[in-house]
Amino acid sequence: MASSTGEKTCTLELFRYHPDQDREPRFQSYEVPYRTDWVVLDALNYIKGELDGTVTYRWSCRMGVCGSCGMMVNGVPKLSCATFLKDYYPATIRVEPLSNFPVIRDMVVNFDDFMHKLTEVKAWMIPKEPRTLDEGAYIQSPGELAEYKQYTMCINCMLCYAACPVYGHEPDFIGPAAIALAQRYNKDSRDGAAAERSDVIQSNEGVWECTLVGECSQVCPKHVDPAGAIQEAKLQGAQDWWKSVLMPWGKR
Amino acid sequence: MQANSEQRKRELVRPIPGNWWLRRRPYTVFMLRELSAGFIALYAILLFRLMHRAPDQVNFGLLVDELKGPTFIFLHLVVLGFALLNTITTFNLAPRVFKLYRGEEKVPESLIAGAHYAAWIVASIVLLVIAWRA
Amino acid sequence: MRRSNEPLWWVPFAGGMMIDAMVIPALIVITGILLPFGIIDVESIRQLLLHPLTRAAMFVIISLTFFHAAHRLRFALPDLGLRALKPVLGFILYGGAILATLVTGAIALQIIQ
Repeated sequence: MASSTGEKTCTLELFRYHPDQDREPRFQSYEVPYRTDWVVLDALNYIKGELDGTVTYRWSCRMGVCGSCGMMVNGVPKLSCATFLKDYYPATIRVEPLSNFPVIRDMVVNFDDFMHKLTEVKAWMIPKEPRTLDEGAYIQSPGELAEYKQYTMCINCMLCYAACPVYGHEPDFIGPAAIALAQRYNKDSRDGAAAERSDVIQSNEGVWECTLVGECSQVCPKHVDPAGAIQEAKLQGAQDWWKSVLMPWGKR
Repeated sequence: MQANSEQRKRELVRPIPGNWWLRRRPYTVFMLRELSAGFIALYAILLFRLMHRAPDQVNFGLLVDELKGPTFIFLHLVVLGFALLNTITTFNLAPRVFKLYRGEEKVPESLIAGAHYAAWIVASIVLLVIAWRA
Repeated sequence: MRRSNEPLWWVPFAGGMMIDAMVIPALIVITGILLPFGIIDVESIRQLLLHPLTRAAMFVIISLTFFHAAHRLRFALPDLGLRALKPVLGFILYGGAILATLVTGAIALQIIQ
């Protein structure tokens, strides 16, 4: 692909939906300069700056740590700031809003449901033995840190929800990131609310809805492995349940 | 960001298409993996029939004769494919379920999967030896 | 939120999945090639299948295989399009697995011929 000046160009096909004008979504093609060091976000910024100011999308840090720029690129959930044009060129790159979320406008989705689930699982520290500043830091060994560290890497980008067909079919499913975050606190030696959180994630809408498709872990840009978090929780939950059935005299 | 009801009405909801599992390879492999359990269950019916007929020498022999036919050979091949899919996906997913730590060090995933494959080879050899030496 | 009772079905499912992964391929080789083509002696296998230990093992393998299939199909069939069946699928599939377990148990114990 070359422009009239002979410069190489790349074609992006963008999902367009403006609720004031459109009843149905449509796709619109744009030619952007092809630079080998450009990512999809660079192309979107070029389109918005030079070609069509009405294109709407979220972004922030442009370096893969804020979780704002999640989109579908050729049918796969990706961070637009971490997806290089050169991995697709010369094929057309199709950009769509993240699957399984309602679309507000163009690439912008409504993720209220995810935010709600973070509060449902109480994705914050509830200390076992709260300490005041005077009492000093909470002590934790490297081994204790290792137990949950991987799950702290979540940037709430929601690519895992877009990849998950269970969430797509059952919006009540608590979902990969929320469960991984619940486990992040459950396995933190400083936290004391594992029983409370487990009541939520061990429900029918929690880990037991998951069928281990595994795509959540595949698309996660921070290698959190939410699928692993869910399977660990299933194993623990199964042990607890059978113990409570076979040895009901034990305390929970 | 709390959407008001006016905005919610104009939001576009995109339901998952019926052929969702055919659109990307990982989803197709997943669906085949799930269906593999059904095919293995059909095979279990044959195991049941063999056990059921064992007390009757004549009928047992008739069933074994049936196994020589092209239908059963074809079915065995199909189920073998699904059984191997189940074996491989189960063992490769084992590290997801069993996360073991020695202090700070995580036991490598390849070790956990590898242990399962090793157990599979041992179990298979044991079964074949038992069948051979019966 | 109430904790689910799913672990009741999940443990036999997981057990069946692991057992199937370990033994089914070898069993397929035995019943698909070795037995019909006389590479192993038919009468010896028949005698083996009368042994209580063999029958106990077969019972476990067959029963857990049905629970493995019931659990997987319960989630897969709605995803394939049969969404309307979702509320009753568990009842049908797990009920079927329980029935299959009872029948297999009776045969293994040689109660019915």
